[in-house]
Amino acid sequence: MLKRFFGGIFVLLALLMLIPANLYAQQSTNYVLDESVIGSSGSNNSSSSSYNSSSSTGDLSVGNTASDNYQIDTGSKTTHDPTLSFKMINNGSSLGDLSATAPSMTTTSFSVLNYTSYGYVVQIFGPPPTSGAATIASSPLGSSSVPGTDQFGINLVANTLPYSIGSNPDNGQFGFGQAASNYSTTNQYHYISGDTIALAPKSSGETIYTISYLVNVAALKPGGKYSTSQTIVITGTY
Amino acid sequence: MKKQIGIYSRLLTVLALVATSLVQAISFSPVGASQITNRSLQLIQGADADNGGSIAGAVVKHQFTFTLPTAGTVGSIQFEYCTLAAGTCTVPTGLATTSATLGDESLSAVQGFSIVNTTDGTPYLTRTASATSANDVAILRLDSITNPTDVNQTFFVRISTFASTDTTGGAVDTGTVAASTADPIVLSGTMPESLVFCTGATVSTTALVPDCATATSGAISFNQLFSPTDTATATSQMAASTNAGFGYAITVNGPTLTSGSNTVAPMSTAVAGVKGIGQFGINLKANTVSTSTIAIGTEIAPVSNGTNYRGQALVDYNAADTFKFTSGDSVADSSNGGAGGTDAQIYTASYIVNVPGSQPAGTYTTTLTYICTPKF
Repeated sequence: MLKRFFGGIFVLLALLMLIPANLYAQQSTNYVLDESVIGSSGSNNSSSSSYNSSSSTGDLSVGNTASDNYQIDTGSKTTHDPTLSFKMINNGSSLGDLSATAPSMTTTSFSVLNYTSYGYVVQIFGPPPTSGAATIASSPLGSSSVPGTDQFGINLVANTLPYSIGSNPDNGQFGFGQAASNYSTTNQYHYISGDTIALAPKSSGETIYTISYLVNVAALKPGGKYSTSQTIVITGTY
Repeated sequence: MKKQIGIYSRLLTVLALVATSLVQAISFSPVGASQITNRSLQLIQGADADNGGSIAGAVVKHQFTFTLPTAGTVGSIQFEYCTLAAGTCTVPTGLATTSATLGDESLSAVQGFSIVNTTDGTPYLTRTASATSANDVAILRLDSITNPTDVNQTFFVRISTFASTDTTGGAVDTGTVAASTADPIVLSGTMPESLVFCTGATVSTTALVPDCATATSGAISFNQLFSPTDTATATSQMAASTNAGFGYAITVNGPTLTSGSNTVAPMSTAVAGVKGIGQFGINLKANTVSTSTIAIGTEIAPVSNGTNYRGQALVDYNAADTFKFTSGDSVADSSNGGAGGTDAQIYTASYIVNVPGSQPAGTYTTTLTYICTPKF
C-alpha cells in the first residue's frame, strides 16, 4: 500500500515536471531574473495577445561562447530556428524649437533580440529633417556640435556634450549588441541614410539601443516645422 | 494483486520519466534535408522611397542571401512566408507576394531563374534543373513584395531548394530566416519664423553685426534750410534680417513734405535732383556731389553676396543721384542671388529736397513708415 502511495507521488511529480510554469518579472530591489521558468523544460516563443516570452530553467550554465570559427549556445535545449524580435520603445520624438544659438537634442530607443544567429546588423534609413524644400544638412563623420551651422546627426552612445543625453547599448545579461564604429564616439554625431548604426557579432539576447539626435541650424534656416520619418532595418544572419 | 499494482506503478513512473526526457530531447527537422547556412533576408526599400524596406505594408524588395551546403541539383527554390519559424505555416497578415518579381540574381552563384508567384506567401523560383556546387552562394532578390501590415512584426521565411522545377518532391536543402517590420521613427522640430527690422536716424553694429538695439530716434532734420539754389539733404537708416524662405520686401509709406496746405512736390519718377524746382525724393545708394555739396548716403552694408546677405535696393531707388518718392513703393528686398533669408544689413535712405523760389515759407514735415514684409 505504501509503495502504491509513493508510486503515485512519483507519477504526479513526473507529470508536473512536464508543465512549465512561467513567472512574470521576478525581481526585488536586489535582483532580477530576466528569463525565468519553473519546471523541467523551456518554452520558446510563448505568447498571447498581451505578452511574449522565451524561457528556460535548470541550466548549470547559460550563454554564448564563440570564436572566429564557431559558437556555442549553452543552456536548455532550444529550437535551432531563428528568433528575431524587434521593438520600438519610443518612436515619436520632438526636437522642440530649433535655434541658431542652442543645439536641439532628443532620443528614441529600440530593442533587438536575435538568438540562434551569427549576429545581425541594424541600418537606419530616411532623409534628414525637411520643411518644404528646406533641409537640415547631415553631419559629416566626426562632427561635434556647432551651433549656428546646419547639422543633423546621431549616435548610439552616452554623451556629455552639448548635453548629457543618450545611453550606451544596454545588453542586459545576454546581449552582445554594440554601436557601429561611425556612431559609437561620445559627443560626435553623424548621419548617412542606409548606414549600419549597430550590430551584434554573434547570437545575442536583447539589446536596448538609444539613438541620440542632434540638430543645429543656421540663423537663416527658413522657419517652419522640420520633420522626418526614419526606419530601422534589422538583418540577421542564420 | 498488490504486487501487480506495484509493478504498474513503477512502470508508470518509468514511462513518465522517459516521456519527460523525450519531450526535452526531441526536435523535429525535415528528414534528409541539409541546413542552408549563412542565410539572411535583407529588407530593401522600394524604388521610390527612402524607408529602408521595413515599413509595415510597404511594397519593398526582399533579398535572400544563403549558402547551399552540398553539391546537387536545383530546379526550384521556394520562399515560404510564415508567422513562425517552424510548425504549421500561417502567412503573416497583410503580406502579399502575388505581384512579386525576380529583381536581381546577377550576383548569385545559382542563376537562370524565373518566378512563380501564384500562391500568396509561397513564391518560388524555377529553372531548368541544373547542378550546383557545394557552398554556392545564392543572392536572390524578390521585388514588389508587400510587407506584413503589423508593425514591429517578426516574420519568417522558410527557404527550401528542390531538384524538381515546381517544388514537388522532397526538399534538398532548407533553412529559415527572420525579419521584422518596424514602426517608423518620427522626428520633428520647429524653426521659429524670424524677422528683425528697425529704423532710426542711425543703426550701428555690435561686433560688426547690425544691431537694432543701437537704433536712434527716427526724428531727423535736413542739413539746411530749403533753398531754390541748393539741395537740402538728410539720411536715415534701417536694418533687416529674416529667415523667411522667400525673403522680405520693404515699402515706404507716407505723404510728401507738408506745411499746412503747402507741400513739396514728390518725385513721381526716378530722376536726378534739379535745383529750383519742387522735388522730394529718396534713394538707398551712395550719392555723389552731383546731387549735393556734401555727398550723402552709403551702400547697403555688409555688401550683399547672394548667399547670407541678400538685401538690395529696388529699381527707381537703386541708382546713385537718382531719386523718387511714391508712397507704397517697394524700395528694397532680399532677392540678391534669389529670394531668401538674409542676415542683417543696414540700408541708408537718402532724402533730397529742392524747392522753387515761390515755395511758401514754413516748416515742412512728414512721417514716413517703412514696412518690412517677410514671406515664409
